[in-house]
Amino acid sequence: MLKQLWIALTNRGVVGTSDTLTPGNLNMTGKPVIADPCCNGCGACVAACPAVALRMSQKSGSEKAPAVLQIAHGRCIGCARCIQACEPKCLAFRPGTDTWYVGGDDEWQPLNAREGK
Amino acid sequence: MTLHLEKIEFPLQPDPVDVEGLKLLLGSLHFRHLDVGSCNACDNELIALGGPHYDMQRLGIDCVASPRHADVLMLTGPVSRNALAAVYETYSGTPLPRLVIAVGTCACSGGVFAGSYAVFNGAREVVSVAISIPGCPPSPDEILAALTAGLKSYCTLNAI
Repeated sequence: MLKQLWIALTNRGVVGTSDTLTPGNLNMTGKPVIADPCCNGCGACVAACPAVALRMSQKSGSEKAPAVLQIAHGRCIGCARCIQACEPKCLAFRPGTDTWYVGGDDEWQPLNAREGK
Repeated sequence: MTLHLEKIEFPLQPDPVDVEGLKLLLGSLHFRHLDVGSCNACDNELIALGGPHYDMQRLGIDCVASPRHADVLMLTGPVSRNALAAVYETYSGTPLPRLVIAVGTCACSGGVFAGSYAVFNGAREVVSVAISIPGCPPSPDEILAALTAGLKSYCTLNAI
């Protein structure tokens, strides 16, 4: 829990923005987002996830397109180990209480698909 | 009257959408919490919701003891096989309009117990789920957000 707090604090909300954490959003819960599009497809986050909530998908069609990191929101527990494991530091932990989703299906989605919903 | 679970087809069919009934839930939401194999972390978060810090009752949300009085079923846990009869009878005993909310990652997808012989992989395998709240456990803030904003979103999506 303290580690997650440290990650959330040092990342100042979302990397690359001027979000600061206030007591209103200082919450242990949230989801990972891609803040910096420098994913090299190393898969360290996939291996680090204890809930098997991340995967690398090659369904882009052509070989030129990089593998897309996908998340199953119904499996993510908000532990932020993927953010710790990310080497190019492209993942950030976005604290928030809006992790709910309508319906029961948690199909694999790209990481930033639910931003601004 | 014996219950023949093998003759019932799961997941149970979703109810016809009652738009007017669903709108009432935005002002008053009485839920029945059903623990189907949970580790009780999610249950404790629901209890914390009722405490003075988060206080769901100020928003019109309350926990009721009987499914007959409930609008919403909050399921926690990955739905163990032993609890299947309980889920069926509780769900059948809840009068319409009713919704099912899956609280916690276990109820959403099976969580750490996914793939086990003893559980179904989440509430969606058994009933039709209206809102899912992932988290292990989800904080009371998240549950409140789902019961207010999530419910509103569900009503908007279904009020066609």
